[in-house]
Amino acid sequence: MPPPSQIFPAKDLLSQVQIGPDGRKRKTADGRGIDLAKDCELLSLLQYECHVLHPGIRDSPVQCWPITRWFRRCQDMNGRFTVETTAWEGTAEAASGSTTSTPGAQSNHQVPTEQASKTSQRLVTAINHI
Amino acid sequence: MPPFRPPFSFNTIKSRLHIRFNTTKSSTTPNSTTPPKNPIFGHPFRTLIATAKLVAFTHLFIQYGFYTSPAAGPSMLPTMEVLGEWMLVSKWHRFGRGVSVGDVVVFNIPINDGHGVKRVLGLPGDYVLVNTPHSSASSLEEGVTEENRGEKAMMQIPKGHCWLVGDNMEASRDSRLYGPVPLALIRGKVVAKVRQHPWEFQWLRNPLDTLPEYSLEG
Amino acid sequence: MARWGSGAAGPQARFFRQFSHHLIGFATWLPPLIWFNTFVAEATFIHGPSMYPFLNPHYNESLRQDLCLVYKLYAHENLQRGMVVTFRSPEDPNQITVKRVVGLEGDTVRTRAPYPFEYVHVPSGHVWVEGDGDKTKDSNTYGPISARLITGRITHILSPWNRAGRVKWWEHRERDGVRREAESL
Repeated sequence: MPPPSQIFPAKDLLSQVQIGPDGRKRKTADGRGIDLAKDCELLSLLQYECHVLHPGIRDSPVQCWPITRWFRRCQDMNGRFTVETTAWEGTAEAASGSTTSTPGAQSNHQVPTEQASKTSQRLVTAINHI
Repeated sequence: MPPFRPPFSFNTIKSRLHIRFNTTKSSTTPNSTTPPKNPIFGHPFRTLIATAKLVAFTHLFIQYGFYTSPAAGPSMLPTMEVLGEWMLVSKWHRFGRGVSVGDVVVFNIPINDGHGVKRVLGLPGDYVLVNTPHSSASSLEEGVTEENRGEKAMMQIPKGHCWLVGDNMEASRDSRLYGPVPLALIRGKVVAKVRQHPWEFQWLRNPLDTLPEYSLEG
Repeated sequence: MARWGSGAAGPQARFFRQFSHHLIGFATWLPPLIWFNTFVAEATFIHGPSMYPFLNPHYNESLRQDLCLVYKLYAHENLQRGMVVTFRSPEDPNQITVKRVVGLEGDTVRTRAPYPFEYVHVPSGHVWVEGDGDKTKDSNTYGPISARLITGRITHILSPWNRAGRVKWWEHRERDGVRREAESL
């Protein structure tokens, strides 16, 4: 268990990302800071909240609600690193952080809300194949 | 057709070490060209040693090559079933070698003697969410709105560690409980899963490898 | 007549045949050897001054390194304070480190220089390790380590001869500032 690392609120993400793991400012190819929304590729993966409906039964059906986790893959002079932006994507900080918001980035910001409306339809019911 | 002599015959070693187990007329000398009657089962020690060598070789292959293991528990639903699935684990990826964010790994749990199967969400220098993001449905229930979502706690993964979270965040004890896990505890990467029949074989895909739906390039 | 197929029975051919036969015979012993070294015991040279003066007492006078026997079977079970253990560094999985176990799970340890807090509670399944010397990077830098990282125990010093023998870890004086779990209850 490493000594407790510094925990920071997600709204400070943009300023935290500028500092590398060695505690110094990250060096980028063009000398500017890291702009999460503009320079970094947006990626996502699904994790879930699953409930086994009848835990006593072997073939119990399982209900899973998907949770999208968002990531940005950035690059500095030392290589690539990944930033989870699940709690940052679509917030005011994300909007103010990107100086030039591309149409693509705009649509990204709507993703979480769009998902909220779809939740009821996206309930996944998986049946165990045991 | 010359009689088959398996390469793991120990006559040579025995003669090198000048060990004579029996000194009857039939015992072979190094230069003898008449093979013993039964090269494997001729002597009890020979069988024993051959078995030990084979076991050692197999164990090493399992340690450094591939192995299969049954997956159990609800923590990786729906990627892995609760019961009845097997996974193929690549030991080349032990100690986190060549592992990237999004991979599923088998690892030694740092706080007890068990092992777990979880997804890698962060590697050294990466930034991750420390607490659990909730599905939109449950966050609305709990009154979590767009405004206070910004207060979610994050951290940068320290040197030599990774952040592991089960796919079923509801029923998984992982880095959210015991913090970043040393890469040295990673036993291997899950490359495929099999249901009870061999033809139900399925490679495990890293969801971050392909371009997602909402890509900036799109 | 010919065991390995070739019909020629010249002295060269026979030599080659016997040579390859012996070679294969020896090769079959490699897996058991590697297996023994990986899982049971291994002789290892100790680098660096972190365990000074217990290991490598002359690190600044000569290049000579101590040769130690590392016992690997069930290494991370039944650990005791004072044991000298090898483990994979939590900061770099490819590096094997030698340190002494100072605190066990449940203990409260008074930390030293670089650690950000004065006292630390060793969590379950973890141990607090420190080097004997001053020039050491140990739990005071990277915190308590998981016992699962431990790969072996140093049981014997094999070389140099004047210090060779069993490692009497139980005679090592316990470091101040370690409160045992039982006492804190």
